[in-house]
Amino acid sequence: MTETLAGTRLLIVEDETLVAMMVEDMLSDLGCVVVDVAGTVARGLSLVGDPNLALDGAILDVNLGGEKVYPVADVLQAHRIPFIFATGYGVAGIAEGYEHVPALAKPYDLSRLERILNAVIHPEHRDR
Amino acid sequence: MAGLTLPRPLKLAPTIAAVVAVALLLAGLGLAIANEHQVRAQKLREATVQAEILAGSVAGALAFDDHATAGEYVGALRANRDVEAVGVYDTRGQLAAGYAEPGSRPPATNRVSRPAFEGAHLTVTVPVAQGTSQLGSVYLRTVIEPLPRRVARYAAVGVLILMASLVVAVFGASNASLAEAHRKLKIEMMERARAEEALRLSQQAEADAQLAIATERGRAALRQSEQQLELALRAGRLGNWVLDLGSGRLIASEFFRANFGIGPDDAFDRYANLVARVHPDDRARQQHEMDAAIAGHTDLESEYQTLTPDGETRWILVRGRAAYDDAGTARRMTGVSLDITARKNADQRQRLLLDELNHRVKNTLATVQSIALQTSRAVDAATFERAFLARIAALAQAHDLLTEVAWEGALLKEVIARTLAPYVSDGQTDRIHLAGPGVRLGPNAAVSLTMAFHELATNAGKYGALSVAAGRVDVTWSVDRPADPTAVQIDWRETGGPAVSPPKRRGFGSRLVEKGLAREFDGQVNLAFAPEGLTCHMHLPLSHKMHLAA
Repeated sequence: MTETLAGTRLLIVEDETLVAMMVEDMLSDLGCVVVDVAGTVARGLSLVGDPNLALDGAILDVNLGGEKVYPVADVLQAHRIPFIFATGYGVAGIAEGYEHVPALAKPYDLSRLERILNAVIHPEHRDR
Repeated sequence: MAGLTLPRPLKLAPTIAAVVAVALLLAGLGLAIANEHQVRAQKLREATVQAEILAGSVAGALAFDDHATAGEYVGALRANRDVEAVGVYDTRGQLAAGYAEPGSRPPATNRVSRPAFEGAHLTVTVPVAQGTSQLGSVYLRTVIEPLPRRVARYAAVGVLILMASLVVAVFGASNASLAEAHRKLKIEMMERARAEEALRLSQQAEADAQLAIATERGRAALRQSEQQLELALRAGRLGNWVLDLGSGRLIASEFFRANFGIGPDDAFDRYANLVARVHPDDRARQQHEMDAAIAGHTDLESEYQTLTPDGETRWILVRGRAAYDDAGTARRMTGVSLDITARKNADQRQRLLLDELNHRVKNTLATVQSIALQTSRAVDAATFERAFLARIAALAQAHDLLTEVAWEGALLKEVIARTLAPYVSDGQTDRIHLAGPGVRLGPNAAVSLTMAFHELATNAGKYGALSVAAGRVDVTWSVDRPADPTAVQIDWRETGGPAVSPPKRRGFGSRLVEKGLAREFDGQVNLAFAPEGLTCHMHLPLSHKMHLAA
C-alpha cells in the first residue's frame, strides 16, 4: 500500500509568484499542507530554522532571481528534512555536492512531482 | 691498400739466381785454373820423364859420339804426337840428333835450363850423364794439351756452366718476370688505388660542390620560406615551438612565449618552464593529451589555460606532432599555438546566454502553465479564453519591456504605465496619474508586478474606477525612509468609480497581488475594498529584485 502525501507539511521556496501559486495548488491537490512560501533566501532560512513549523519536506527553486538557494538546502540537510530542487536549468544547473538531490524540471508535471516527493518523504518505499 | 705479395723465397729467387750464376762461373773458372795447373804439372812430369828416359837411352850413343843411334832413340819418340820437337846435344851443346813436327824444329844449340812454359808449349831440358861425366843434353818440346782435346775439355765444362747458367738464368728470368709482373701489378694496383682515391675525391668534391650549390639554393629557399612562414605566423598571431622530448629543451617563438605572458628576456627554454605556466586545473589534462598524441602517433590538439606571471588567465590552443627516430622513439615535437581567450570567452558567454535562455524559457513556460491552471480554476469555461489570453498578453508585454532594457532592469513606472494603457482611451490619459522616484525591477519582479498590475487594472476596468468615464487611478510610490531607504511603498488608489463592496470570493487576482507579491518580495501587500474606491498598499523591501535607479 503506497503511502499518500496527505498531511505532509511542506515549504515552497520560489521567487516567481505565479509559479509558487501553481505549486501551492498542486501540493494542495495532493493533500499536502503548504506551510509557507518563501521568495528569498533570507526568508527561506528563517522558515526552515523554525522548529514550530514541523516541516516534513521542502521544494526549493534553485535560482531565486539571481540568488542561489543552497544555504537553505544546507540547513535542511543539517535538520535531516528531505527536499527536492525545482529548476529551469535542468540537472546541469545544480551545483556540485547536491547532485544526489532529486530535481524537478520546469514546467512541472504533477505526477512526477508526486513521485519525487513520495520518494524523498517516504524513502523506505522507494525500492518497492 | 693491400698489395700483392710473393712468398719470401720466391721474392729472393732472382738474387739467389744471380749469386748462383756468379758462383758457378767462379767455380768453373777455379776448376779450369786448377785443371790447367794439374795438366801442366802432369805434362811437366811426363815430359821430364820422357826427356830423362831419352837422356838415359842416348847416353851410350853420345859417349861414343854415335849420332845415328841417338837419332833412332829420338825417332822412337815420334809415336808421341804431343812431342813437337826433340833434340839431343853433345857436350859442346851442338845438336847431335833431333826431329820435329812440321812447322817446328829443335834449336841448334842447347843448354840445360829450367823447364819453360810458352803458351801451349812446354820445353824441358835434361842433362845426359854417365856417372859423373857430362855427355850432353836433351831438349824436348811438347804441346801441353792438344788443342782439340783442350777445346773439347773446356767446351764440356763451358757447356755445363752454360747449361747451369741457362737453368739459373731461365729460373732467374722467370722469377724476374714474375717479380716484374708482381712489381707491375703492384704498381698497377697502387695506381688504380690512387686513381680510385682521386675519383672518389673528385666525386666527393663534385658532390660537395653540388651540395654547396643545393645548400645555398636550399638556404635561400629556406630563408624565403621561413620569412613567409614568419609572416604567416605573425599574421595569424600563431606561436610556434619545438620541444626536444629527450632533453626537455624548448624552442619557443615570440608569440608562443607571449601566449604564456613570457617576455623575450625571461627564461622559457625548458618544458618545465611551460608546465609551470599551465593553469593547475589543466596541467594533468595537458600532459595526458601530449602523452596520448606521442603514443598514438596522432596530431596533438590541446586547449588549456595558461597563467601569466601577471596572474592573468589565458586560453591557448596548441597543435603539434611528434617526430620519431628509426627505432620508433619520439624525439621531438613541433607545433603551433594560438591565443583563443577571446573565442573561449565568447563561447562561455554564448553558453551562459543559452543556459539563461533555456532557464527563462522554462520559467516562462512554468508561468504560462501556472496562469493556465489558475485561470481554469477561477473562471468558468466561457470566460477562460478571454482571461487566459489577456494574462498571456500581459506576460508578453512584460517580456517586451524586459527585452527593451536587455533584461537589465525595467523601470517601475514603465511597468505600471504599459499595464494601464489599454484601459484608457488616447484622449483620457489624465485619468491615470503615476508619480514616484526611479525604481528598477529585476526580470522576475518585473513579470510579477506586471501581472499584479494587470489584475488590478482588469478589476478596475471591470468593476472599478476605469469602468466609468469619471473614474481615475492614482499610483504613487516612494521610499520608506528618504535618508536611508529600505523599502519602496506603492499605493494604488481608485477614485470616481462605482461604490465598491468586498468580493464574496478571493480569486486569482487578489491572491496574486496580496499573497504572491508579499511572498516574492518578502514584504506586505494590503488590498482594501473601501466603498469610495479600491486601494492597494504595497510595502516591498529593496533587494536585488528591486532597487532605486541611480
